[in-house]
Amino acid sequence: MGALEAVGNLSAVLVILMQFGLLRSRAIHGQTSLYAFESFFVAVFSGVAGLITGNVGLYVLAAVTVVAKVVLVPAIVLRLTRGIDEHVEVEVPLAVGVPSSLIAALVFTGIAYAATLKLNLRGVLLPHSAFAIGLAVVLIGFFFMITRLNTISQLIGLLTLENGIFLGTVAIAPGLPLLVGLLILFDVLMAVLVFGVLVRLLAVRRSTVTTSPLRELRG
Amino acid sequence: MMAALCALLVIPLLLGIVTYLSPAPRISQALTVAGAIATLALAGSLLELRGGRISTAGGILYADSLSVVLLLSVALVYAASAIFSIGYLKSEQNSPGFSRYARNFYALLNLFAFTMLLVPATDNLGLVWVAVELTTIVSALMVGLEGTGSALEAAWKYILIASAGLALALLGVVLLYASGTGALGPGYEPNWSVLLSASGRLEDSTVRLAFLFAVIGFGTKAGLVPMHTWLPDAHSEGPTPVSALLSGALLADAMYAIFRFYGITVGAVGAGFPSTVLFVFGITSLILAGFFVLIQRDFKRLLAYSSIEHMGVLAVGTAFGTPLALYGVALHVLTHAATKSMAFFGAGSILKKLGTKETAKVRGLIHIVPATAVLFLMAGIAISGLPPFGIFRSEFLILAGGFSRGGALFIPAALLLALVNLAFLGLFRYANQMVLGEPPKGAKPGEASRWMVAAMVFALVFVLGLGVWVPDILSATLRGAANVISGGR
Repeated sequence: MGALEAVGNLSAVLVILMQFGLLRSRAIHGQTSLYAFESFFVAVFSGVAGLITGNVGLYVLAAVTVVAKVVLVPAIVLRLTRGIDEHVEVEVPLAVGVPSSLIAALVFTGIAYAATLKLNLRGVLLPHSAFAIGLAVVLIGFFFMITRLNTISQLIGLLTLENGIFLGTVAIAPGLPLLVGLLILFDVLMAVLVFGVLVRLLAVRRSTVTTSPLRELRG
Repeated sequence: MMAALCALLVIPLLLGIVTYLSPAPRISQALTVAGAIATLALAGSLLELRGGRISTAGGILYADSLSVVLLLSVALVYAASAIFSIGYLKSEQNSPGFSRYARNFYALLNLFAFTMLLVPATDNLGLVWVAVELTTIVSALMVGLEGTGSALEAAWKYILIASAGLALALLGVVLLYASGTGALGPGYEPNWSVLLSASGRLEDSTVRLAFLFAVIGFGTKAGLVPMHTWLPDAHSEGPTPVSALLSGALLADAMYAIFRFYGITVGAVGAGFPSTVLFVFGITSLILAGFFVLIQRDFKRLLAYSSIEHMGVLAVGTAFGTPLALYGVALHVLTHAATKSMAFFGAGSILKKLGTKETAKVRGLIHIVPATAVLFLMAGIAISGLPPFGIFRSEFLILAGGFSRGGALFIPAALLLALVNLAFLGLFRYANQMVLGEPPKGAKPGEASRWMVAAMVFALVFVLGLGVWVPDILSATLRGAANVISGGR
């Protein structure tokens, strides 16, 4: 394995490490920084993939990822908590405790690896494991969204989900046209803004950002 | 043709900007109605394609028969909702903050229509995904527009669940792309037409996984059970014109993406696998929606569950896969769009008049709002699939298509027939209860708004028209659409 592949693999592993770290973190600030780091490693992976495949678009995506997801999105999320500080609990309430969450995450990672073993992708130059890691990040992201009872954490979970997909995309479809990649990033930014509006409105109306009062509508 | 397609997209986009800047709600109303009707006319002019297709800029803008069916149904609901909105906003005219509310409402309404029209108007499946996600973002704001606690809760649930689902759909898009890199090279345009013509050479197992992710992902947006949980809330809490757009146009847009994936998957791995998947999701949706319709106490939620049922009908019809059934599916997209808008308009009008969404509290509408009552009853009959209305025709074609194949398809076809009847019982019973009987005391006779009645009549033209007569030119387009869904080129 060449040095480039090694760096690529390392950054992919760091991405999932951040995702595990997210399950341990119980403060919004900590979760946001972990997301920023995770996005950074996704960008590194994209850059390395650009070097390996010679696809210039991937450099551009890496650069845009750094601007959008390492700087802008975390800044927006942190701004969200400002002004509604009194509604943001110091610790995010959990539906499943940290140790059990980590065990669940291990199981999800195993499932992701098993599920991708059978995929027979021709014409792929990058380490196959990165797709499995992307899928694992997606599964853990879902778990995170379900078990963290706070609207801002749910948003962060959704964002990490998107990081996992981005990682997987670069791993198995590095040739996806740049335009599509950029539009997807644009979508993420728009979504974060709208989520922001809703979080603030909900916080003001319910005077909290926990999700437990969101139980009026069922059946 | 291309000019018509461009204009059809540009009009609502421009209107979105203009109505946001417009000083008076009255101007926005007039512009939106004119623009929406122009959009519908332009979509109608695309029928001239007669099964052909147009494409420009490497497939960024594209239309074939299936696109035209979707463009027509979205434009139809858009136009009807624009008319209905005049009456809907009238009652709020004197409340504080009205001009701000109206400005946001119209800007979002037009932008929402734009994003929904974009979905079927491109060949690039990456762009399709982006457009579907944009519809979520815009419509979530609309659902929360009333600003009440439950509206915001519904908006939150909607955007969170739909975005998470769409993340999986994106995974499906990426996997489908990856499945083609062996045959088409590492970098190619992710166009439906490209993938379809290469579908025989795609990598089997990857296409299967891609299809599953696409059905779960776009199915979340289409309200297929068990990913439907956001749907009744968003439909019942949003303003009524939005409910109509969500139900009549948006759900079909999401199903459209599934149709496209279906055609490619059939080409790659045969019809067995994708049909089984759609049967499972379709029948589950039909069962659950059928029972929820029977026990629902809130009439807007009732209609929301009926939408889930109809998406189930579309899924099962697609799974039948025979040309006749697929023709029925394409027609059903249109008939459902027209009929469900009409029903939601009726519900919205009743809600404005009586101030309640509870079915039990609504009685004797015929004595209070005779025109709305008659139209609402007709919509109820139409939505339950009785003749002479459009849904009867499309459901009949789907069923006939299922039974015609015989053999293993007999069981799902019989199940479909039974479940459609179950939902019929529920819907018909409630519509009857609400319209007939003694009116509640103190209810003053008089329609809530003439514009609302006008919107229902507008929808009725299509609801009834498609039931008694399908023009040749439309029929050619529907046949073309059926061919596209089945993976024909």
